[in-house]
Amino acid sequence: MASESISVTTSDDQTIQLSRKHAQMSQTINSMLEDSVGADQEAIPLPNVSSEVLKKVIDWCTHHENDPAPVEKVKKLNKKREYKAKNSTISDEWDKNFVNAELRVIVDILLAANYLDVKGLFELMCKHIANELKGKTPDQIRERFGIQDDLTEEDKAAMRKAWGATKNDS
Amino acid sequence: MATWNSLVQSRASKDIRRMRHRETPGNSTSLWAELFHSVKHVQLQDDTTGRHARRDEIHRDEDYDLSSLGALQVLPLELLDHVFSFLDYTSLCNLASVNRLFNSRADMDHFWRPLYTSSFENTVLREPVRDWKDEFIYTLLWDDEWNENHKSRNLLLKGEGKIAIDKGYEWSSIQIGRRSSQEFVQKSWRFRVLETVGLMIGFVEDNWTWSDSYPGTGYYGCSVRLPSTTPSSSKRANKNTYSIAYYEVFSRNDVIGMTLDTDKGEVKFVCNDEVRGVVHYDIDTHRPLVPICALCGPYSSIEVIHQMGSGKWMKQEEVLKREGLPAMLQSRPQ
Repeated sequence: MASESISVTTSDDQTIQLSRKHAQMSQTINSMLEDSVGADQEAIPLPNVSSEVLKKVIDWCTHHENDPAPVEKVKKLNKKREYKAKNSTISDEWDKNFVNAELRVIVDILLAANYLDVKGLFELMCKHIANELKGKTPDQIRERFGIQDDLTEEDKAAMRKAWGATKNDS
Repeated sequence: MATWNSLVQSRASKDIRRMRHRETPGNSTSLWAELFHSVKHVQLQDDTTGRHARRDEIHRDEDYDLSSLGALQVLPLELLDHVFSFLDYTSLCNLASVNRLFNSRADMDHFWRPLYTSSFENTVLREPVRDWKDEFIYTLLWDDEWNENHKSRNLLLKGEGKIAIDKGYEWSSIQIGRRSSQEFVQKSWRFRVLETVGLMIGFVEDNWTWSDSYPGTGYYGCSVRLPSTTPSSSKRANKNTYSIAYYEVFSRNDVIGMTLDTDKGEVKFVCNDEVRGVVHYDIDTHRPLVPICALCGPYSSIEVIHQMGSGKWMKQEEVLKREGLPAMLQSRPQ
């Protein structure tokens, strides 16, 4: 019988124990477990997730462990993606608190969620960054994310020209 | 369905993951640049319309400096795209003028097409003249421009745009729906008459104005009157557009309306769901028409009921043909 806890090794060489239930919320770990039946005594290496980030991910998994599994509606989902803009509202209060972190951490969690394939967490982080971008002027966005403005004057002129053309022709 | 998105994701995400494992801060820029070009290559291959290629040519040979993205530089572009897909049009426009890389990403069709379809529900998908961003902005501007030029100060739309109230003594008109396009076969509008002395409903061409063309060209509709008032001309359908001679009698709380049949080029008058007759025919429906209503008299009011009626938006086989195809192919010129 499979043991109830899984150990993983993070990028900073720490070994962290997490319950099987939480581990299986990550599709990446889940498929690793399925591929290697009986070998679950060994720690699973996660070479690009740091222990700090992994703890955050486990926090999230603990809070969401009883969430209903996302319904697989491949066809409908595709259609929806085509015809509807997505809603970026974060409804869960706990989640709102969770994303209230430094941008650096947010980006790291997003990368980890993508790598570990934790769908809900991935969506949450994307929504959060989208909300950060929303309703801000270009200057504010550059300031918030530390982005350099590398648009040349020609680029800007071309953009203005394109907009003028949109308005006047046809 | 092999959309651009899924292609890139299936092909690039594995590479990204693999590369991220072994990359060190020192050589990350070159790896990213390499990867970015491979992604762009997929985009160019998948694009059948040539519009993306055009947009890409502007920047193709220039290197994007990913370190310019600050805190977001570690994000693979596919993740950035996913983040962008949550944004509305103002945010996307703002993003486009933040940075070169953002500029190239935020203009792409797969953000704009869903935005277009969800924002202009009353507008049927048509072939974009340029690309979906331009189409979106054009539609937006077009309606705003029309409203700016034609909306009377006296006429208000109240209650989520449903009730039009005229506060002046002169005729004033208001646009009550989005412009038509060639692609739908038929479209109806209905109004419940609440209180009015005179009322005109119909479709106008977009260059139509009260001052120089009433009664003149570009207006296809009819006047309706209360039983107590005298019609100024006889009831007839007119082939030309030179007068609004078609009158119908109505009483309060009647639901009156009009139907535009773009296949036949006809405008029909409808009262309480009963077709009373053809008001105009031989209309050139290749130009877009704007549905309007015009009210006369203080505190005239009507309730606008948007209704598809028996009309359908598009021919069924058209819909099926479109929905079965990937987004990029759908907008290819026939």
